[in-house]
Amino acid sequence: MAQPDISVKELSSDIRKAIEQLKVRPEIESVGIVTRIGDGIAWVYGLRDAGFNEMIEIESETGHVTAFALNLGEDEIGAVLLGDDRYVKAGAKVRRTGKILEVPVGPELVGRVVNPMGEPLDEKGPIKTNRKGRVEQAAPGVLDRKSVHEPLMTGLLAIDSMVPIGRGQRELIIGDRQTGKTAVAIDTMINQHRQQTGVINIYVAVGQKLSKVARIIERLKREGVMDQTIIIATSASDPASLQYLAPYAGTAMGEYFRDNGQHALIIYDDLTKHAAAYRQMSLLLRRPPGREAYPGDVFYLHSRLLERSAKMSDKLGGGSLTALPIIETQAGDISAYIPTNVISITDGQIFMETNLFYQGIRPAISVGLSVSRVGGAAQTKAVKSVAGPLRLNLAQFRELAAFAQFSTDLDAETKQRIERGQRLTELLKQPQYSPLGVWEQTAILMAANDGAFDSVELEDIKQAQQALLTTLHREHKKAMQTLNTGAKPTDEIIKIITGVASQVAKTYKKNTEQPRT
Amino acid sequence: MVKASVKQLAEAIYALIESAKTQKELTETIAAYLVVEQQTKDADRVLREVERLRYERDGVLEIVASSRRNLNESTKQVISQIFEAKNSKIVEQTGENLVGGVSIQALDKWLDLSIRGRLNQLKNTNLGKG
Repeated sequence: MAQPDISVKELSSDIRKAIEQLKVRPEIESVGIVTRIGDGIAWVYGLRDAGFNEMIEIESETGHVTAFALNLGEDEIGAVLLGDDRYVKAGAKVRRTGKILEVPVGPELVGRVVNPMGEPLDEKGPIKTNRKGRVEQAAPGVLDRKSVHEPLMTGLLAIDSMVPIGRGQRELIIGDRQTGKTAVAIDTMINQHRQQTGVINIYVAVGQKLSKVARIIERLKREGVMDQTIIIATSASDPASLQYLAPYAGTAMGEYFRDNGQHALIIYDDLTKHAAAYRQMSLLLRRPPGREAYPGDVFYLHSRLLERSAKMSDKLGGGSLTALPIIETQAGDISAYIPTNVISITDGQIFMETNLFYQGIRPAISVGLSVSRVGGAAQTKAVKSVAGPLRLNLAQFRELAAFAQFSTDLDAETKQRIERGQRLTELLKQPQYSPLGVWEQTAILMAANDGAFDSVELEDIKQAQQALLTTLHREHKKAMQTLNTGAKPTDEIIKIITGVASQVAKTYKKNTEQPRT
Repeated sequence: MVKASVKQLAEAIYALIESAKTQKELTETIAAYLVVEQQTKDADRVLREVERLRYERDGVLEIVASSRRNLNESTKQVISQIFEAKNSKIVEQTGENLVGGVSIQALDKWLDLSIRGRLNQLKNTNLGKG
């Protein structure tokens, strides 16, 4: 191989020039002094030019600890530490970095578990990306957006039929503890993988038990979903500052996909703990407490977060960031301070009821209290064509449910409504980690509307449903694939489904001719 | 009774400095006030504010110079000129962990010419992170 034409003398001169350029020139810099430190808050004298949310570095015994300036006083700054405050002493020097809080963003984060600073927690090596996204960023303006019109299928029949979610929407999941809120979010993530939608999932765990986060990661890996998921994890033992930053960091990562024409789904689990972490920080910063000791800007805490989830205009790539914030209520009180705040910000809510959960109705979605303000615009034509009567039928059933125990004294129409409602309730039950595709949801609802399941015993409904789906998949695969595209079902497809449904129902028909004993 | 703010205390002490006869008298007056008003924890902040007021109004600046060895007169003169104060006073400190060179601090300004400081800065460049 011919050697390149290099002059050693020229190389020597170039190297000297390069070394000169690398020489560090000392400058007079502004420094602050830590006057007080404790509970993750450092009070710093000086740094009058520091900006809001600017990152500062505090000397410590182990090197430097990063903090960000939240309270800008006339002669003092209140800074929240992002690391351990044990090794920071009063009198330590503090330097400005001139940078606002940023986290690494990009496709390199997909499949990884990170902390709110973007540092890996999964022992898979460093995140190799040069791109940075601001943790605090202005939401897109009105003209940069487009109305929500594409569906984001959760795979849960109850939600996709009655409370449909669209790409770019903010739909709140709210309920007491242990009612299946996270389960709804996990199933939605799994469905993005099963239906190969290409949506990137971002799961933000705020102050959660690490055992819970580990279980979720394990499940996502088992379902093959981790390959399109980013997890930002903070545990209950992490500083309040990291718990406060986690949702914003996750949103910054999601904005990368939104602004590059891709679609992302972000789950905040949960914003109640986020508000509590912010309350802790604000009280330690001596900000005046308001209602329930929350600071006065706790609404703004969530509104500026959730406004960043949007559907972008075609001019800006048409990407979207869909948000599923989770709020935990106490004793079903959705009129409390934080729940009402977030309900007023989001584009609808899915209310999970404890009573329904313990009755075995899972997902325990309260149809009466759940709503999607985007509605049919975010629904596939296929599901929309069959979901219309569902809400009404269930509402009528709820009104008549009290009479169910006196069924022998009711007229035929009332009895039929009650029976239909019971069967619909049974059909809406769904096991965890089993999201349904578009064709499956459409087939089930079409069969139910046609009355195919009216003659089936209540305890056989789920078996009949499964038999319907199995038969359709085995004998009419091509038609079901067409239906799965989301297009409105043709007459031929309707005929196929109703035909198979009635055949299946005959097998499970309740025997009303048995002699009385 | 409403507690005096740091700025108010600093203004008061600045005025006292002008009228005090001895440093001991000044010290005792300030210490007594802070103890009675239970504001001893604000002492450092107040005195830093006083330092700033003296620099802004009278051009008086106290410069803390840390080095491994004693500074000679020409070095002290150069240090005084850097901060362009009408009347500067250099307080020397020995910093054995500096390795060499000098680190200068006045109010909230810092000029780190120590070997340790330069090594830290080099560490933070691309070369250092390599």
